[in-house]
Amino acid sequence: MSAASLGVFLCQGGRGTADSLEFKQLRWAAEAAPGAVFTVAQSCQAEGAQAIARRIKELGLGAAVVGACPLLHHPGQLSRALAAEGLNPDMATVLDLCARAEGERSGACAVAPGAAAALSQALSSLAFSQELGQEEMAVSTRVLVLGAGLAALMAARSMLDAGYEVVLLSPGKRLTPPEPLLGPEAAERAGELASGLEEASGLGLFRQGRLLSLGGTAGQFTARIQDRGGETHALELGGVVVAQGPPLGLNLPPGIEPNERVISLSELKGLASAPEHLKKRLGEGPLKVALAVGLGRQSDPLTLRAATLAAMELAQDPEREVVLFTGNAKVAGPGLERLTQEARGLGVVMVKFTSGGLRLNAALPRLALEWDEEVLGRVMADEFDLLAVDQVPQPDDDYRGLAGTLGLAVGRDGSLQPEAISALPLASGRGGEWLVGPARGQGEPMRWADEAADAARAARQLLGRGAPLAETGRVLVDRKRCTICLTCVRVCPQGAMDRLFRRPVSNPLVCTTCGTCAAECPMEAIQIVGLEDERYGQEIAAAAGQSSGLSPAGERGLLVLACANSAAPALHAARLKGAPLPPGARLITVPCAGKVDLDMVLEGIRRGFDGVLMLSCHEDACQSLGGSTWAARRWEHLGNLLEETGLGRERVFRSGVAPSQAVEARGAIENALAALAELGPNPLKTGARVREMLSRFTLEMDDTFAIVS
Amino acid sequence: MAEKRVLVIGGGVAGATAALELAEQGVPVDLVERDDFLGGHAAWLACKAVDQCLKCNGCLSEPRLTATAGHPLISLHRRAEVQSLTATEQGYQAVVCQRPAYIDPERCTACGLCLEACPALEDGAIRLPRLAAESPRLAIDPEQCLYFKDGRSTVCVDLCPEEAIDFRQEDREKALEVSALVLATGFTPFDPTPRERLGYGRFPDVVTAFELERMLRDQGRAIRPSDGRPANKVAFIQCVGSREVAGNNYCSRVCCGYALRLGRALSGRQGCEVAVFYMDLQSFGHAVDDFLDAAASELRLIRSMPYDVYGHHQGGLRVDYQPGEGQAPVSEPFDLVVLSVGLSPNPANQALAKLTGAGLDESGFLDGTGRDGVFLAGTALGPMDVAEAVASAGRAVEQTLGYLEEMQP
Ligand SMILES: Cc1cc2nc3c(=O)[nH]c(=O)nc-3n(C[C@H](O)[C@H](O)[C@H](O)COP(=O)(O)OP(=O)(O)OC[C@H]3O[C@@H](n4cnc5c(N)ncnc54)[C@H](O)[C@@H]3O)c2cc1C
Ligand code: SF4
Ligand code: SF4
Ligand code: SF4
Repeated sequence: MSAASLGVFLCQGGRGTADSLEFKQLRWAAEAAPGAVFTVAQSCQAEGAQAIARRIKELGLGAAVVGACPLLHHPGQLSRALAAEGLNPDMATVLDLCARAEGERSGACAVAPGAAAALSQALSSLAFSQELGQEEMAVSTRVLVLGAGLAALMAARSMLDAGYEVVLLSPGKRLTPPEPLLGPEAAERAGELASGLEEASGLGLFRQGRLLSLGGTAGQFTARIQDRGGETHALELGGVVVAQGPPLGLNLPPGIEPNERVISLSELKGLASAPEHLKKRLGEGPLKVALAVGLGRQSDPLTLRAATLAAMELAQDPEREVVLFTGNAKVAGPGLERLTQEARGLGVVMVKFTSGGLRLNAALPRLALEWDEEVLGRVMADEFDLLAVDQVPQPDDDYRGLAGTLGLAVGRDGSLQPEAISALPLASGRGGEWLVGPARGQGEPMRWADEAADAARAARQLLGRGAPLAETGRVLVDRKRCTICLTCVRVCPQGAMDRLFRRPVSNPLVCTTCGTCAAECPMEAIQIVGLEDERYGQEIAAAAGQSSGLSPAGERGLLVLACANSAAPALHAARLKGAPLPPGARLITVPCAGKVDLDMVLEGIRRGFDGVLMLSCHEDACQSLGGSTWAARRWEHLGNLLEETGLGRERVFRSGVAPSQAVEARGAIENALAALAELGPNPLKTGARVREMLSRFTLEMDDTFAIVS
Repeated sequence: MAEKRVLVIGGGVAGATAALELAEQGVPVDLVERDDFLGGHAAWLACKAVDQCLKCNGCLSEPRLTATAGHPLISLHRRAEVQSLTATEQGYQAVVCQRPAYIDPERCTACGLCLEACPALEDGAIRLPRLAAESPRLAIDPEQCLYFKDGRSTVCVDLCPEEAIDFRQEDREKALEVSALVLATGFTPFDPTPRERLGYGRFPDVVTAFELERMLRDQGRAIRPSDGRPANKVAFIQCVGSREVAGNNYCSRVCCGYALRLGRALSGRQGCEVAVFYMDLQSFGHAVDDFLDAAASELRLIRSMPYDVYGHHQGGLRVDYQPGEGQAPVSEPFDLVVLSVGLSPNPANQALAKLTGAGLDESGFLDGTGRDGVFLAGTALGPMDVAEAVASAGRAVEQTLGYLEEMQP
């Protein structure tokens, strides 16, 4: 951007604040940067916005910064005015420089404390902003669906309907393996889907196939698949849907072993629907059957529905006594509450055991069960001929192997989904891989159709019709510095980094420019255009009041590094609610906490800030899935470094907020300021001691570096 | 009609997500929202994290709503409802009736003078949005505004320096030509007032969970509404307006999850002593065993439904319950009682069903069917959480796109 084409518009407010010292300081800060400076009146009004837009057009400005109150942040006003002049509606950056808060009296238009520093900060970062061209990327429009059964078939169908070629990789022989818990309707639906798919054009099918490897990144995956004959096929893929869950195992507590009288609910469903088998198994005469769900781990509505239906089927024979044991009866499925009422009406006895669960009295020949009855508050016992229990996902080595091939980790209960809440509903830790149904660790067919269709929607978003537009060249890897240690490939929370001709390259289709790779790269070989280390260096200097010659004298000086996904919106909301940034705090917005590296924090301290606060998403809530986790690790390291230098870790703070937490975000800043007030000013401000301390730190770094290289 | 537009009814998280994803696919959308602001119920939910995220889904809606509010392909019609839907050659003509804003968004600078002066502010005569991206920032509620009651107050009209307020505006009708529509009109939180024994409406310190969510969101902590003091001992009563044979005879699916998380947030952040009265804990899905173990260690989980909630003459509330059959009843004091209200069907469902040809299920939710080109999303279909509502919106988008592709001109 050529410097001459920048315009800085400063709103002088409705009641003429132009004569105040603060406004003059604002002007000085603006004039220190290359660009023309204008004063406008009432930019919050449509007329004010129109005047700005006209001026930009008249002078042919290339970019504009408008210093105003938060009201101009409201979508529309300025953008509309710019569009009306035929200009790019996003060309102007609006800065909140006003002390006035929404809901405060209108007379009080005034320049906010620290506005001058905020303005020079914005002007310095603007010099780095760069528009990159969009390019069409060549991607494959073939999608691999992993799994068999209803969820996988739904996913394959949705992808075909959305116009993608599908390769369905079924681990077993059948596309419709028995899923007795789903019931006859679901089996019928699965059957229909399977026969429809078998005839569909655009579907490639591997039964008993195996995924050997999956390289590359979203849109450009390369898979090797082994077919049942042992032959290997190489395929290019745009995306992958994982609809395959871990194998199921009996949900038994310690102390009860499966045997011919302790069987799975699925097996019971088979027996119950074929009375002769049941008779063969248990003999003639009256029968006492216990069904138990949620004995080991918690169960779910799908299982309760299946168990209730099985119990009702058994109870039709008046000779049979049927008891359904539940811990927490998971009735949260449609019509399920009614179904359990109906079951009771049919004579099914429903019993809730407490945390003690069901115990087996091994001393007795029949199945003697004991449980703590919660409502009655005592121990109960009874004898049964048969006990049927539910099944829960129990990942085995094969499943872990598959997850490894997919580049995913198996979670605590077999789910492949990352811990971060923002992955919901179906993202995995690798862009272009979507998780559906059992792969998410939960089995509820009523949701699978939604998830399968949503995966197809996600594929459209990512792949389009095969030539999606993407901004290339945002993440730059310096070939001279990069030692191909592949740290970036490992840490990228989106799986966006790949090796191309042995060099790491970021895939713009899935990169969120979170900056984790740049911060983690031990060689500092990665820069993100517009978010360079240099930009933040300058911004920190400006925020410290040092680039414009303004010093934050008398202020305590807290540098707030705020994540753009959580903390920045929360602080904006606080601002709108009438709680602007407290005096003494300076805000720098980072794309994600993942971008915050040690240099940034140390630079803040070197520039004289008394302390640094990083405001990120909460742990496990990172919008870029893993950036804040890496940032938290670095923070530990940072604390140690600061201890070593003698500055102490008390000057750096870290806190998590959600975008809705305006109160908490403000509170975290106030707490940090209060802590700094206790600690007193940054000792680095006092010159020599500083350099001495820093040199120790630098020396150590140099030593380490020498050993490394 | 040159382009195929889609009408989305309801601007909650489901409707907004559907509108956003359609727009991202290049389809222009008319989003009709009955309220003054976007977001529906999800926009009121509080974050329940205690350092670590408790996975309440509360923050899933914010980015989607913000993107919806600013999307160039989405025309937002706030304060609007669809009056009629007539089949046309290209799809439907929807006649939309829009209530007036009374505040000119081009003029209002949200200076707040009217807020300061409004005599009925406490009653909610002037409303503010949840979402920072929302514009305009103020809305007048004619139900509460004194001017509309008896023409008495025109304080704000006289005071507004921008002359932005005009009470003479009238309803407007617009006709929208669309090819398909997504119905995402959501749910209604159960109103516990008729359950007199629970004390709601009689004792200010008996609140609904929805009110607690808003309290946490706005103030960051739980207080006793009666005196503004922090609530130290809190009871949650589950299944209020759910699992009733004679009422809403279904489980609302989300209330156990939100109540346990709210309880853990109160315990972890404010050191509250929390008791949860329940029948069955519905939490399921990802890492549920760890979650329930943690809940059990931090909260008192009591499997019993209280039968009486009342104010004590020495202050505070009492909750009467029987810990177990044959055991002596207990009367325990609490500062705050939170009713975990369920998800009731939107009372407009019958009218909406008639409008769109949708069917109703036995509980009064829409059943997923409808006239050609009508697709459904979110809690209009039945209880679900935010993540599920988002996935269901994704499905409605796929269905709509498929439908639009098939209806070649
Ligand atoms: C107390 C409480 C706490 C909760 N906590 C959580 C939680 O922690 N986590 C979680 O995941 N979920 C929670 N939920 C559930 C969550 O609120 C819902 O999943 C979510 O709001 C559903 O979104 P929706 O868009 O389907 O419906 P809604 O939020 O109801 O949105 C529907 C929208 O449609 C509009 N509308 C209605 N009728 C019409 C009409 N006729 N014309 C035009 N517009 C109309 C409404 O104004 C509204 O904006 C909670 C619910 C409650 C009651
Ligand atoms: S910026 Fe973030 S998403 Fe992009 S390649 Fe680097 S680590 Fe991955
Ligand atoms: S607790 Fe809820 S709102 Fe807070 S970060 Fe986690 S999911 Fe988001
Ligand atoms: S989710 Fe829990 S509180 Fe809500 S209705 Fe179901 S069982 Fe009751």
